Amino acid sequence: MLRFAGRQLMHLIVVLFGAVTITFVALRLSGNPVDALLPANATAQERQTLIDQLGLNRGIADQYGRFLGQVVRGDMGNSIINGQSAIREVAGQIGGSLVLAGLALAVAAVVGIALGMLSAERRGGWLDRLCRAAAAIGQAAPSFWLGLILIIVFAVRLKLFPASGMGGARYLVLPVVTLAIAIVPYVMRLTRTTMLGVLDAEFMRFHKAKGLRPAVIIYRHGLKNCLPPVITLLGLQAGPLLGGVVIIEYVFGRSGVGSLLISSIYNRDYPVVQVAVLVIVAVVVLANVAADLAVAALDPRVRLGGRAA
Amino acid sequence: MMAEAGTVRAVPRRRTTAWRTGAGTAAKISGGVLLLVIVIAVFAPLIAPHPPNTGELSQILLPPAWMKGGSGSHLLGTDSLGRDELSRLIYGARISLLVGLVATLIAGLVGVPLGLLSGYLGGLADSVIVGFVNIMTAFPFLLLALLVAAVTGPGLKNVLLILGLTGWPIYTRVIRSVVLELRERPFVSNARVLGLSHWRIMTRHVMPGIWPTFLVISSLQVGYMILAEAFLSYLGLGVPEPTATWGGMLSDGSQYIFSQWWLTAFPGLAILITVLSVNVLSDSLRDLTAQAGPRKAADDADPAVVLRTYVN
Repeated sequence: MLRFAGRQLMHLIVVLFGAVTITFVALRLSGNPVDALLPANATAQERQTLIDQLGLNRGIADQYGRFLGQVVRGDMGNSIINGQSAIREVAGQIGGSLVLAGLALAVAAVVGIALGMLSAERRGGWLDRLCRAAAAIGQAAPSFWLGLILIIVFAVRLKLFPASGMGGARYLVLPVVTLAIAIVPYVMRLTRTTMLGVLDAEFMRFHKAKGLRPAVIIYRHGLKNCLPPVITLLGLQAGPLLGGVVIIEYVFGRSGVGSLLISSIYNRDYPVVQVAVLVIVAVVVLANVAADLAVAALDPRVRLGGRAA
Repeated sequence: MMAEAGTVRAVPRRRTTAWRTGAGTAAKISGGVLLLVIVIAVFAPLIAPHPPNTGELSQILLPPAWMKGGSGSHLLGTDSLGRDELSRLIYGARISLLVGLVATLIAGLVGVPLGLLSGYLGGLADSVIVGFVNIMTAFPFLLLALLVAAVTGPGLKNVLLILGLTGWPIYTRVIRSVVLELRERPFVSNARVLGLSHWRIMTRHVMPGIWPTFLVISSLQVGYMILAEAFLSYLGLGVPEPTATWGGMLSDGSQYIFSQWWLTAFPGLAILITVLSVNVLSDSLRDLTAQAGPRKAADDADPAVVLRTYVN
């Protein structure tokens, strides 16, 4: 297990290094950031100052080296808007976003696995068909649009929940539901597919021969065996989930890393954008590592060097 | 999985005929809808009742025709600049389909050769390409697109390039796994024994084997690219005003969410219907290739899950 964790840590470092590099390439090489950062009527002097500030007059290799140095030292510059340390800006916002993402993932996991198992159990029945149709629709709808529709229905019409802003648990309901809806179809479909395979497995027949009740067979032995791929999927959903958090925070007017990122993009607050992106990528990678570790803990075949079923 | 022995539950291993015809109907309906969207997009100038970008300021925020205060000449009402909502929806189909197809094509043009090389050559080239793909997939796709869009600025060409150049890793990953399997087949070693060059084996003998997989990924990618374009346009980083895009219309309409709900509902429905048709068609396509093809690569796993997994 320890060796497995060590391998995961190496993987984590390599991927983070790559992500830092991609951020660098995306921000420095995909166009002249000076044009994007400054208003159209900026003076030549302002341009020159910014070029010096960002070190854009140096060679690419030199810039990259300095950028890596900054990342390692944890010194990512100050916000152009309020002069605060960019890292502190992002750190102040990450908590709320993680709570939002975590709740959504938990809701999606419970609902998705439950629906997937019910679907598999009643394969071909009306519940299965309904779930699969709903999943198809959930996969095709833009999440920010779903959020807006939920606002129209539950906040504007029914006045059940607040439309936007921060506050108690009531403010979290609609954003969490929106984010969860985006993930549930994938969890449900994978659970269903995996469960259908498990239902055919020999050990399930053994449990039946042993005289266990069907409910115990399916919900204890079946569930345990279809969890590993689902957990891996949940880890992999961290990416789309955090992408969703970015836009859902914006839609629901919540403060968090996502809305900070978007307002920083609009304000051309380059250092904050950089830190926010790196933090989100780090969270995504960590979530994947956590999922891999969980799978390894559940499935001895994985940690002993084989492959998950 | 021993098919001949009794199973725990009396479920048939393969889909029943009834289910299959059901899937066929779904495929026909979604295909028909998609065809309709394509026709609408192509003939937008003939179909749209009004020009998409000129509004009458005397007629701003009109409700749809069936609601109180609606007018028959603006079936779905007008937006905040008095532009006809229906006409803009019709023109918006052009951008969505164009981005969906072209961005997918670009992603395929980058991803397929890399996957082919990686799977066929193996060794160092494989390690490098796989490492790169792993890093790319650790980066949330929408975030990367957002980041690049923020730097390059809005515009159709930028959107196409951004989505194309960030969306390729799925191709590389899946195509690589298919090629790895094809490479072990006798016809490849036979071709090698016959003295064919690696290039010729790759292009003439391995390439045809990846087409079914390529089609399945592409069909799913189209839907995903349409959603990604809407995401960027919604944030004002996609195709800029006054061009009608569904995402842009949503962004505009969502400012009136408390009074003019339809300005939010309709563009989103247009996206939903289009992407749903593409996805359902793609599912049927997968079933088709799964039945026809001798091998079962990614098709036993749910491709939507696989895709979402790889694409982020």
